[in-house]
Amino acid sequence: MSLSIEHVTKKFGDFTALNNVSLEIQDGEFLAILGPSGCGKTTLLRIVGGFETPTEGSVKRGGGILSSPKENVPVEKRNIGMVFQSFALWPHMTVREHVQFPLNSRRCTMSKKEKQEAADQAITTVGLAGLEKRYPGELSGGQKQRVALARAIVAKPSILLMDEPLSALDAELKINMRQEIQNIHKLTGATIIYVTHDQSEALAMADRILIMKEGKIEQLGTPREVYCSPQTEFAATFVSKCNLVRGKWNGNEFHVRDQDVVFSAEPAAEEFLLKGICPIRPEEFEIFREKGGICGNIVNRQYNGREIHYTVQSGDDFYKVYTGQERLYCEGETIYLRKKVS
Amino acid sequence: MAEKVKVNFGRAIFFLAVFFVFLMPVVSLLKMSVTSDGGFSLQNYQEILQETRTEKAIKNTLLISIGSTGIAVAAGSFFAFLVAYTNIKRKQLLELLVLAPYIIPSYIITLSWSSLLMKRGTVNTVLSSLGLPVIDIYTLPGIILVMGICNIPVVYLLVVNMLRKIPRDMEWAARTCGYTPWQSLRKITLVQVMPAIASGSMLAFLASIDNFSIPAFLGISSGIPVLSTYIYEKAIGFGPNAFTVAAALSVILSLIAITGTMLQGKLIHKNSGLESVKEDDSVRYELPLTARRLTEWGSLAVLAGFTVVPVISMILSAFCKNYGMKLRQENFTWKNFEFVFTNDGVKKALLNSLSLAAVTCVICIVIGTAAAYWKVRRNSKAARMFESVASLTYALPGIVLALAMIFHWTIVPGVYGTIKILIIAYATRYLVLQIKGSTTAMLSVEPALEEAGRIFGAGKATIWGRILIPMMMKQILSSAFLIFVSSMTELTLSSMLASAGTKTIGLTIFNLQQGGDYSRAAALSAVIVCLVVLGYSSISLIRRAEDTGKPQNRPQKAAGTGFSVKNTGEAAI
Repeated sequence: MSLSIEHVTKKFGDFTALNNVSLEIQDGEFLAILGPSGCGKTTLLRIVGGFETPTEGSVKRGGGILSSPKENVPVEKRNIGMVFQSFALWPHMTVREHVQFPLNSRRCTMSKKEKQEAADQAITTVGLAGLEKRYPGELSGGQKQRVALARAIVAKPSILLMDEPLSALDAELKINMRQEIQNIHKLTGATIIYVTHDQSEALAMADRILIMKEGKIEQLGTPREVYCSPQTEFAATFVSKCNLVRGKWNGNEFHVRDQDVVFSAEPAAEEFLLKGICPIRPEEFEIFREKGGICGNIVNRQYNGREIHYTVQSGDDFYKVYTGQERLYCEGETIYLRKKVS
Repeated sequence: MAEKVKVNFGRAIFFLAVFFVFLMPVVSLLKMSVTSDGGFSLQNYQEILQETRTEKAIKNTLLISIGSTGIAVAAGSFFAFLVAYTNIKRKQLLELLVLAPYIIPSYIITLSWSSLLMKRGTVNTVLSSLGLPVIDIYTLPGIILVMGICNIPVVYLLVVNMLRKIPRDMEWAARTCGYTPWQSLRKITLVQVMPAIASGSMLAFLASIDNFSIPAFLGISSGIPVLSTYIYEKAIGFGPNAFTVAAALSVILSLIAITGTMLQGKLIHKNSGLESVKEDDSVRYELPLTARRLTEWGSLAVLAGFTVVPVISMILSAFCKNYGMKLRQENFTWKNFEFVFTNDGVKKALLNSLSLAAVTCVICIVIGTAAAYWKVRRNSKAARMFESVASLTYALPGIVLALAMIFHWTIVPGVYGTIKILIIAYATRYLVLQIKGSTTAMLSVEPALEEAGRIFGAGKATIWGRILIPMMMKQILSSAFLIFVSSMTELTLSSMLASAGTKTIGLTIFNLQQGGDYSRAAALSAVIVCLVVLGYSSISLIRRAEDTGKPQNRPQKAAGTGFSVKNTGEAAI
């Protein structure tokens, strides 16, 4: 039973939050919706969840309509689980009560014994055993998010919605929780729709990434597709932080503007061909002291341990370059940038 | 060394002054309650506990307080829910009507209701022509109804703020767990808002115990004593031990009030979890069109019936030659208003009340802001103690404080019997409101701003004049406005403390009403309502003009009342 979103538009007054969005989400797929704030990603999630109704278009599941301007299956009848950015735990309930809450609703058809087992299993899965009697006020940020996860998965919903679930956590915890969420995906087999503005989260966990901007779909593809062959300027800069080198395409060759430099490159997406842009990721550049390549000055250097980040100025253009430790260049040095041969 | 002596000396004087002004009156009251025939004894307590009228007064007080709290909690919470969560329109108007009893003094609302439900008035004429029993407002249920209406704002303000603070995600999380909107409301939201409702009902209960004017207007003539009016009757009555018995009654009433206040303080601390959460005005419950219109107009009608209709009826009755007659051309007269604007006693009372309000305001602003500064910036223990002492005099029922003032200030010559006793009494009672208000204002100015001023070479005067005062002005003035309105329309304290030349507006209306001069009482009340409404609307107009100048104005934040929970809720702690 795949989930299909068909021509969904959502307007709030004069503001168009979603503009004719269509896509199909496969059963058990992990889809990340990625975009900057205000791109409509949360609105899309809320429509799928049933918290908002679309102004136009529909959401269907297995042929039945879930959301449309006229019909809207209420949230509580959709068999979904949701994890909120704010955790949304209830201060008056213990961990155990949170996990049991979905099981005690009318929607749940499990027997008493099954409920018991489901609750125990959810608590063990997220690693909260021993903390069942605590209240949210007595938990750390990471533990709170585990409670929210356990609550979302305990009734075995077929769709899990996650609205920036990791953004309230600190950097290290974020990385650790990624693995937990991946495990939960494997374990439950549920369809996960995961909203985030953090491209590394999306790349790390998702089966497919939907990149959105200003209410429209920019690109939909696997992490590798989105990272290695962006289809739009926005996708290129937002996900893989590409440098947009200006010039002219000529078959498999790209002539850099105002420089006597030619890159051999796979012809990029239509948009880049028309605009005369070659997207080059920071790690695709190499720096040389010897002539040959785009000539520029190093204007900034940041040492990051594993990589060194340089900013190179060439005329009016600035390029970001990530290199390894092997050679170190100084600020002010004149260097040449070449594209690595793939 | 000399510096230290000076500091200690200053501190000693400060403590002595606080003790003398705020605590001594209470001590004198306690002492008086255990004095009889010049010696120590518990005879006063024995005496009053034996009287059946005492029992009746305690019973009435509890009945009225509980009953009116019920009304206030039901109505206050219901309207809070409508305004905070539903998609009804005209929320500003609705909130204005809910809060109307907050700015119109309770004796004027009482007078309005008694004019609306006059024996020969329209309402009762219609009722009796339909064969229904007439409604008499001079009864226990009548007092409960008016008291309930007057206490709706307190509950409303606490609950509406809490409701807006409960994150919407919490309800949504319950929905995703398989619960319907109404189940989520019951299992999640209601539980979250419970502390605010409990705290609001405690405050409403305390306000009912404290209230003097409603039972005085409706209960004295019809023989329904409550503790506050009973104390008043005892104290102004003659008799060998009138004062000492009144003192003993006061101690009993204060015990109830202070226990309540402490309970309420506990409730507020319990729900401090959501303090920092941003308020959320979005619509959470969409009512379908017909239901929405019905709720909207029904609520407005009920609320108008609570205050606007009675007040209009009272204003109309002020134009009647004979009170109780229908307003017709042959019955129309200006003479009641003529009396209000020409009578020397009334003019003096107006002047007294206005100057009392102004002086009290200034005293409270200066002392209250200074105390707030010491409390917030210097973390001074003395200032904290000062605040709790000032809370005590606020928590005491007004009639009790008045009695304590009499006992204490008679030892200082030239105070009792002059306007000074009223100034002192008002400042003692209302100061804590300003300390709380100024504290909020102070907390909103980061210490770094002050330090930045110092780094760039500003002196103390410059820091206050250019940084602190401009930033705190709005909040300070909104507390001060509350104090101004309260002192201008005050009745309880002045009923006991005013003398021939120092009568206040409230007392004048009270005396006119008690003397059976309803038309003139109505005329004067009409003038006061106009003054209060005028003052209020000019303030909110100024606010609106200021707000629209800012990029982030919030039209939903209804009415711009300036009355925050800080001023009502926490002041009683």
